[in-house]
Amino acid sequence: MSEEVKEKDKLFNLLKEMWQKGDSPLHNVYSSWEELKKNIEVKDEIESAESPEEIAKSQVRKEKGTGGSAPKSFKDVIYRFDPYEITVRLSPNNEFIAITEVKVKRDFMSYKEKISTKGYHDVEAFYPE
Amino acid sequence: MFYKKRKSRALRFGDILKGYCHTTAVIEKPALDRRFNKYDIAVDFPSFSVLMSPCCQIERGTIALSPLIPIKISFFENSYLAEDLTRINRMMTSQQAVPPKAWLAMTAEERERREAKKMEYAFPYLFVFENNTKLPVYTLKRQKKEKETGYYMVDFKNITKLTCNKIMSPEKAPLDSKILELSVETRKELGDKLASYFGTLAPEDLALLG
Repeated sequence: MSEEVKEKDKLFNLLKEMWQKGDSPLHNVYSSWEELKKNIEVKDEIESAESPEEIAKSQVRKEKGTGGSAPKSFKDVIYRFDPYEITVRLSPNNEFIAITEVKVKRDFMSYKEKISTKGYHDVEAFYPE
Repeated sequence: MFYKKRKSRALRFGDILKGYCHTTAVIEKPALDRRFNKYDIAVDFPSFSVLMSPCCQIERGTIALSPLIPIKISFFENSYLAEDLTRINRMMTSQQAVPPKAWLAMTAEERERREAKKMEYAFPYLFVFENNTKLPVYTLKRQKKEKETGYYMVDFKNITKLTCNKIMSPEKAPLDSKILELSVETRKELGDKLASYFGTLAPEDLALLG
C-alpha cells in the first residue's frame, strides 16, 4: 500500500469517527458513511515552508560553502466535503504530521441554522391513524 | 377569521367547492415500453373539494383540486392542537408538536435533539379547515374512543388535475359550486404552507448548496 493511500485511510478513519457521533452535523447531512465517503473530494496542494526566493538563496549559500539548511518542505492536503474543508499536513514522504485547519466554507452557525429551520418536526409516529 | 364572511363572485385559491370528482391512475409498475398491461383509474366523489390552483392560474378549463378529508382523531391527544386544530397550519415549537405524554416519555437526549429545531411545521403536507355551519359534523372513531368534530383537512399529496369546460376564468365559472371562501389571512397561510411543502430542500441538497 502506498504512503498516500495509507494517509488517506488515516483521514477517512478520523472523518468516520466524526460521523459516528449521532448528533454531529455530518451525521445529519449524510445518512450513511458510504454516502459521505462518496462526496469527499481530495485535492493535493504542495506548499513549501520557504518561498522560492529563500530556497534559491539557501541553495546558493550551500553551493558557496557558507552553510544554510535544506528547505523544510511539506505538503498540505485539503480534503473537501460540503460544508467542511480539512487541511492535513504531510511530510515529503507522505507521513501524517497534523491537521492544521478545519474550516467551514460559510459561517458555521448559519449553516447549522439552515439545517434546523428548513425541515419539519418529525412527529408522525405520535399520531397513529 | 378563518373564512370570508361574504364570498366573492369568483373562484379563489383555497375555496371549498362541491360537485367535483377526483381521479387517480393506479399502475403495477412503470411501463417503460409504453405498453400498459394493467392499470386502473380510481374515481372518487368527495362531498367537498378544495381549489388548489393559484387564483391567476384558474383558466381554460383546468384546475387543481384536493378532496376535503376527515382529520385524525389522534390530533386530540395533543392539547395544544386540540385547543385549536388550525394551529397545524402554522409553525410551532418541537414541544408543541408532540403530545405532552409522549414528550415526557422521551429521553433527555431526544428532547434536546428536538429542541434544537426552531419553529417548524409539524405536518408539512396537511392544512386544516375550521368548522363551519356549511360543513357537516362527523364522528371520528379509533379503538374505544369517539370524537365529534366539524374540522376537515386537505392532504397536499392528494392534489389532482380536473378539466371542466365551464371554468374559463375565476369569474366565468360555476360559482354555485363554491361553498366557502378563505379569508385573506388564511389563504396566505395555505399558500405559505404549500410553498414550504414543495420548497423543502433535502438535507443532502442543502449541504451541497451551502
